[in-house]
Amino acid sequence: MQTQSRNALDAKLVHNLMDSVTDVLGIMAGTSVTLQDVKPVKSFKFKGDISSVIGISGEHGEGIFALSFSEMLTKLMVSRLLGISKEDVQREDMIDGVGELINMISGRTKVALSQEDNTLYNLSLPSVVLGEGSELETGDAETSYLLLSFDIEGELFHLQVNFQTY
Amino acid sequence: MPYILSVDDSRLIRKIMTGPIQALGYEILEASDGLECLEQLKAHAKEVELVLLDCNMPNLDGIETLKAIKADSALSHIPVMIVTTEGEREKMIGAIKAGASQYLTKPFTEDDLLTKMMECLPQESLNFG
Repeated sequence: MQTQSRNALDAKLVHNLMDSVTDVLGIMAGTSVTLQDVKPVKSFKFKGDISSVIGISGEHGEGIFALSFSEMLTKLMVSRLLGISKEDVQREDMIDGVGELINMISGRTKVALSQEDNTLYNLSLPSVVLGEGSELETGDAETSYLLLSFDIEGELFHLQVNFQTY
Repeated sequence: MPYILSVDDSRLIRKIMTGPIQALGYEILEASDGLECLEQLKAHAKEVELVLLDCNMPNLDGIETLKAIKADSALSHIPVMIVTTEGEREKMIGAIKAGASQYLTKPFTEDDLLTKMMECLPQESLNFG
């Protein structure tokens, strides 16, 4: 049974995710992030060269979070995470880095969700998808997603979210 | 040579740990899951002075690995610091009850990591180079 309105849930979730993205990239990569746009979308297409997806589930809800970066922005993030130059960033570290970022962002959001409805949530292990435009098949044509677009130094990256309560 | 064992399925996180570990005068040993962690500890039980242990890992997760370390009389003396995205109070209490010496949530700053590692290590072993 749905216990709160969709809009109220979306607003709380967006705020939690915004705070998580800002905190994780600020603390780990010393990077300032600005939210550019939030909009509902009907399909779950990955929006960048490297994406990571993670599942979240709990007693009162479940969903999917996916983070997508361009290759250039991934290199910048990983170079800052490791304190090395962009030229020295290895491809394995880029793939690993995007997976670890969604893990940390989801972990922080999960804590906020747990505090709000007083229950524990679990995360799956993150998976990484290479290539833009691949579509995630969720098996439900009626499902809608939120697409959050963020800016780092003029480059956009995206977080796609589906979260259903029951 | 004293070691700190970094256990995380993310190679990137293990790389991030390298600088702070070396800054304390230790060499890094690595493992990508709980099973590898136990193998490394059995091979280097006398040289490892701290284990940095992630929770969500394939094969054997962090809490089960922690319980296995604390149940083994040859390994139970080695302090374990949990380093995880699991920030819920219940999970922290569960880890401390299972024998964790410290608990650090990701994301973390280098100062957070250094401070918590120093709290777990024997003070006479610290060597800031």
